[in-house]
Amino acid sequence: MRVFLWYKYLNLPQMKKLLYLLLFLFIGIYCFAQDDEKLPIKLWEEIVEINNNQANRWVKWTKDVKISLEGNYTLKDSVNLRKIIKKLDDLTETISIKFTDPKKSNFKISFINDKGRDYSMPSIQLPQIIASIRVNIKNTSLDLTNILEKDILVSLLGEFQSGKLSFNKRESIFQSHYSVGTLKRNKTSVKKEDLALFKEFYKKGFEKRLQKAEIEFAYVLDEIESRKIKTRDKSLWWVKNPISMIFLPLLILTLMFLWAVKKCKTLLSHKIPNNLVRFTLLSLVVLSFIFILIVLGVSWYDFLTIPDDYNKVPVFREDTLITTLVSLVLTLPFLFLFRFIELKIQKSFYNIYIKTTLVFFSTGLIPFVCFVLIYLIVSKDTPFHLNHASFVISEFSLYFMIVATTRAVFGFFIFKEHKLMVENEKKLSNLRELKAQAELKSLQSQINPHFLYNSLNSIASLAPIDAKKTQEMAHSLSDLFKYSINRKGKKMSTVKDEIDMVQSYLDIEKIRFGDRLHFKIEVNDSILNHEIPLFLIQPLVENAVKHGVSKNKDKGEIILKIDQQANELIISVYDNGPNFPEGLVSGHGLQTVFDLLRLSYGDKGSLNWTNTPEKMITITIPETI
Amino acid sequence: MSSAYSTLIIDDEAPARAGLKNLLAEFPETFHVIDTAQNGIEAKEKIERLNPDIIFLDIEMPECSGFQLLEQLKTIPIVVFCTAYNQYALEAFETNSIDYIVKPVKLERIEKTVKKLKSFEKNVPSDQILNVLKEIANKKESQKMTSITVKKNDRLIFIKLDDVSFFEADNNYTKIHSESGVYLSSETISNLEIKLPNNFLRVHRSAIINKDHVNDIQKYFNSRYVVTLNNKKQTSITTGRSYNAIIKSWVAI
Repeated sequence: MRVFLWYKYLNLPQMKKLLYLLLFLFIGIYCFAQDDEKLPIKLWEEIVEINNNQANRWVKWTKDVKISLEGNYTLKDSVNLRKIIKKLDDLTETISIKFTDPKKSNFKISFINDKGRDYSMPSIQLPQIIASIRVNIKNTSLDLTNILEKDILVSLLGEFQSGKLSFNKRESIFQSHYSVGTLKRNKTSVKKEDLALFKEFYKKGFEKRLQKAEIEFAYVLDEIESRKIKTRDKSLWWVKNPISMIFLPLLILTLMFLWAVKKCKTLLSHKIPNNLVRFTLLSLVVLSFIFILIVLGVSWYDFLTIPDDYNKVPVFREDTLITTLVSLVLTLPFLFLFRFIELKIQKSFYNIYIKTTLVFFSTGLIPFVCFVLIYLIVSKDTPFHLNHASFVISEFSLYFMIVATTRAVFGFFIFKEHKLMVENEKKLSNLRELKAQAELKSLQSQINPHFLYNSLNSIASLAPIDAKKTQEMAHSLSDLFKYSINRKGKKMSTVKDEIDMVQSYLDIEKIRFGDRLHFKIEVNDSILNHEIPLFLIQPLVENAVKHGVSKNKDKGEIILKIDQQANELIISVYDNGPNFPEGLVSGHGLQTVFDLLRLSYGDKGSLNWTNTPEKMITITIPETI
Repeated sequence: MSSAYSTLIIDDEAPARAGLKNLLAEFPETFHVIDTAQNGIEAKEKIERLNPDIIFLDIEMPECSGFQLLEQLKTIPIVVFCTAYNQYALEAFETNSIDYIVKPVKLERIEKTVKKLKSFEKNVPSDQILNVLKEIANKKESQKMTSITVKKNDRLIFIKLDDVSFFEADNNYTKIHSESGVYLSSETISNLEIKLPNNFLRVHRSAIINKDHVNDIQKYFNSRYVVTLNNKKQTSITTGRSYNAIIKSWVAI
């Protein structure tokens, strides 16, 4: 079976000609088929201007408008309303506007008796209700009609910040009150231009015509811009680029404020130890700086961009000041909340994944929620448009998510590094501790070699002369060794055992020094069974012998006293030799005692010495039975 | 054969005196022990009174050093020094005029002394002996310092000198920088310089560094150096110009 290779036919010259002809015809028909209807100029100029202001959002209803009434309305109100609705319905092409019962409605008009308010206020209620208006029945019926018509139109079309529709310089009901420079409500009545706008908006094919108009009426926008510029009588470049004019000064101001904040921080950290108070003061300072910055920036921008012959706008606009102030004041409690959360996260969780997730949420969700709350509070008195609000909220949620993600990523790596560092530090300190203990152990288990050497010398000298003394000395020496050898691994010993050892030691030394050594041991019997570290006392006594007795050509006296005072044991060694040295000491004996104390008791054990009134070295340790 | 030398034994420890006396009794034809002395004062008195030929002098005696004793003597007899440490081996001892023996004294060593004595001259120039003693005394007194004490509140803190990376002067006090922290000592830095062992070097008017804790040395302007230590903070100390020569000789540049 042969496949029909149709595309090969396209290469034939006849086919090509045919194709070109078809293409040409198609384009031509398309072009000519265009509705060459001319767009009404004034109307479209307005529409183009409105559409090009970024802050404007059309409220376009795609479903049919089903209106229902509620509240204290009279028959007359109802009749007037019907007239309005019929009028509007006739204007719209794409949707229909009708009365229905409350169950099926998506547009509610409530008649309320609210004292002190002579304007209506739209508000959002049930989900199927896309818009609702509240009208005060205090108004006269003519006012009521006007208000109703205006509000319905605004609900169906939107509110725009196009300035004073500067091109046509007229007031429109669709003008948002923000752009008028004050917070007062727009009091204009419905004009036929507004109705024309409404009609055009809900005509079939509006979007297509809008596109066409954008091109045709592009000069509108240029005119607006140039008008703004013309009314300024200064040089051109910075008027066209107001941002460039305010950017540099604002930047300098920001840097100055940053430096000032840093100075405040150091100043406060010296004077006020309390972290929370410091944080409050700092955040107040920072917020006031931000307030100044924003107000200055916005006012300057307005000053540069709003033409001279415009509504006489004051330099510092009331609404700017109030809005900024209120927002900043409201952020203050939230700052505390953030700080609290941040501190919690930093301190508690050890697992870095949990930490990262928390950081993400805390930066993404919580500020976002707070922002939404602030936004709701600040815009409480103003008409609330769901679309506009939802747009703003979604935009900000995007920003917050971006910030949160970035922060989470950075945070993750920082946490990881920190964790590694902490672990390293731990390992290091563990090793150091082990090293110290090993050193101590090695020192502990050795009898001082010099002492051993001297004792053996004495034994060697005595052996041919006095056998008995030699025997005594050798026995004492073996007792000393036995004490240190048999205590393998044990760190603690009793007071009694330590004293016995000291006794053996001193017996040996007495043989060497003879009459030059006298010693006394004074211990209370009740504390003989108390536990003290091994080899704690002997180095003190040995030090007394080495530096006290052997340096003294006359009689040397050593007294060892162990006392009990208020849950502490006080071990003192007195001798009558030369004073303890200032600063530098030689020999490891006392250093060993100090290290042993520190390892066994930490800060609770202490070592001290005095030279006057008597030369004494003292150890104070907590009691353990 | 000359008659036995009249001998005086000077040692502060009784077993040492008794032991030496016992050993010398093995050589009655050479040594005739006339008396023993416990300390320098007693020794001086006995030497002047009894006029011995030989004295066995213990170097490690409390209070009165052998040097002070000999200085006070009008005539110095033959001296045999006894010491517990053999690091005092000096060239001077190579001469035949004086001898030294290391404790514990053994019989064979006394035999050597006896032999040496035969070639001893009676009148030894006293200043030679004094010089030898001086050197021994100097060597001995350099007892190596191993720790430094600091008084804090009511207690003492012992800091191992091996752990100290550097000392820093602070008015009339000195800051001790060590592994375990920074402490304040009431000693002046100049005092410390004298007493500290050889591994500490003064590099600046207000700094003494531990040579064993030095990471690197770099040349700096004005014949100065920057010494970096290997402590936690990796402190760098700039040396003073007047210590330039010392540092050079240490590094042997």
